[in-house]
Amino acid sequence: MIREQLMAMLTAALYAVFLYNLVFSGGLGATEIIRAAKKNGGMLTFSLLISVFSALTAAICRLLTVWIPKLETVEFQWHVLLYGSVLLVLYLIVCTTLSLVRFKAQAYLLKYMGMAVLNTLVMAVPLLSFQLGYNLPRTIAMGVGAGLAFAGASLLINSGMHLLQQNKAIPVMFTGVPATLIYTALLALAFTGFTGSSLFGVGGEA
Amino acid sequence: MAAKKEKEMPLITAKERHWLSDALIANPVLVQAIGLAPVVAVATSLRAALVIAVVAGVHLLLCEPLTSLLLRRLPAWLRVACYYVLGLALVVPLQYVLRRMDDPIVAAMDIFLPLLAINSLAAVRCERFAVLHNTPACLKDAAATAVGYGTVTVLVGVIREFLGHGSFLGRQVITFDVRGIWMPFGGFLVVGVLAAGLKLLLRTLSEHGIVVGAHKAMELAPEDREVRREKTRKLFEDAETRRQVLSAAGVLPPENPPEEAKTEPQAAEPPPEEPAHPKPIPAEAVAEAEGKKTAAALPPELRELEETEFGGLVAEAGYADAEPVSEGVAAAMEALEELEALDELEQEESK
Repeated sequence: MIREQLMAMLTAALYAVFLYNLVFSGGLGATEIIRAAKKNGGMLTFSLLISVFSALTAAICRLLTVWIPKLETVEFQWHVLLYGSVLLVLYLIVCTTLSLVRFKAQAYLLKYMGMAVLNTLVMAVPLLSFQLGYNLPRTIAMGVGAGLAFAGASLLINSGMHLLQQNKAIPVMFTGVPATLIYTALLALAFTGFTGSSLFGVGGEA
Repeated sequence: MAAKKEKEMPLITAKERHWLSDALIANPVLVQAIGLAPVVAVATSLRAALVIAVVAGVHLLLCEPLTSLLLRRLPAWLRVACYYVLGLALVVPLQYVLRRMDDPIVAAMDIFLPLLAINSLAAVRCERFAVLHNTPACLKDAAATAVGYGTVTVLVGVIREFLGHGSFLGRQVITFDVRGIWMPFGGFLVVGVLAAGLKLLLRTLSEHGIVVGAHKAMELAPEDREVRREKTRKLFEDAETRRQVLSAAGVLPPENPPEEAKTEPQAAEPPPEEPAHPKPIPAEAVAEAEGKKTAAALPPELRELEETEFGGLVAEAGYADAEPVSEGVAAAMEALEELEALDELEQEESK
């Protein structure tokens, strides 16, 4: 039983990292990932915050729908409101606690918390796990997978950006943001391969 | 050579150009790379793009003036939560209405429509601009940003709809089917190519004197960059300027008398009652203490640079974080670090 649950969790995490990479295949957290990749430090903190908050938010939302079965049947916008509120409350609790307790990394954490927590990637995890009908362990694993996807993507983009900066053969008009975006596009294309999607329609069929 | 370059690139302040030109020069998507997720994930047709553009624009027009009027005194982490609440208040009713309309395009937006509530565009612009400026300036900035964001989103939507399905506004124009362009990689690719196109356009316009100073916001060619770097270096040679920048950024205590700074004794020989190395003051605390003075405290030449080169440098490089200190100060700090790194590199190379 435990083994089955662990396998299910692993599958959900791998799904979020490879099969449907939330960053490259979903385009979620695109701004944050490029901003995080521009800085050499902080990527792991970012990824950890994303993992923790997406897993926690999704888990709480999942538990709420288990405890209050009526929530399963309400319209989608109410789910949005519920999930959004859960994320907000979590964020406020953590930030208030951090602002009250004095410690070395306090200013650093509070500075990045807003960008790391309140972004499309974190918010998408509970919505996706609801749509996919995931149970609690799978939901948590998907949250962790989102953080891992972010970490992998930011490392890839960060190393690519360093190479792009050193490359003098790039035309001036493509340097900077354009080169980064096109490089990200190529990475996203590579990850699209895992989804099994077709890039071209068959016989003009949409 | 350097003098010639300098003549070609006069410092043009933000005040000297039309406020709406920021939609082009400091375009949120193509130059600053913010608010990307909805554009690359959802803007696959004109109608979807219009929904994104309108929602993001209204969100921004609500958030920026509100931040300027009420929220600037709150800590940054609480302000970010307020932008999010406003976004949710906007998106949830909209989702309700659009679901009633039963529009297939809107239905295709799926979970991405609610994610517009959490778009980074409003948060970044409010933290970079609205906390430092008055309400009319914020309204102008919000309008310029919304126009810039909306234009790019619509453009991306039209291109992807046409390339993906050979259609325009849902009507088949030609038989064409590259559905891959609807995926996020297609979005990144189209935005990347458009960003390069904008860069070329601004350079061309600038060379013809049509948009003066437009190239300030863009990444310059290595030789041009060297000219800019030299200017920055000269600026920082002035110890007093350097001290003011560091004070305003909270690295040094703001009350140091200028005489001390001119002889560079900040870290050495402090008064006995003060610590030898002043403890870094959190930027937030400095901003709170100084209130609106953070930007105003900068010397005129830095303020001018903040509005031209540094602003562009920050936007292009994405250096500035959502910090409650002046953009100019944050950028100046980065420039200072960059120059110090360059000095170290040169020293190593000379060895």
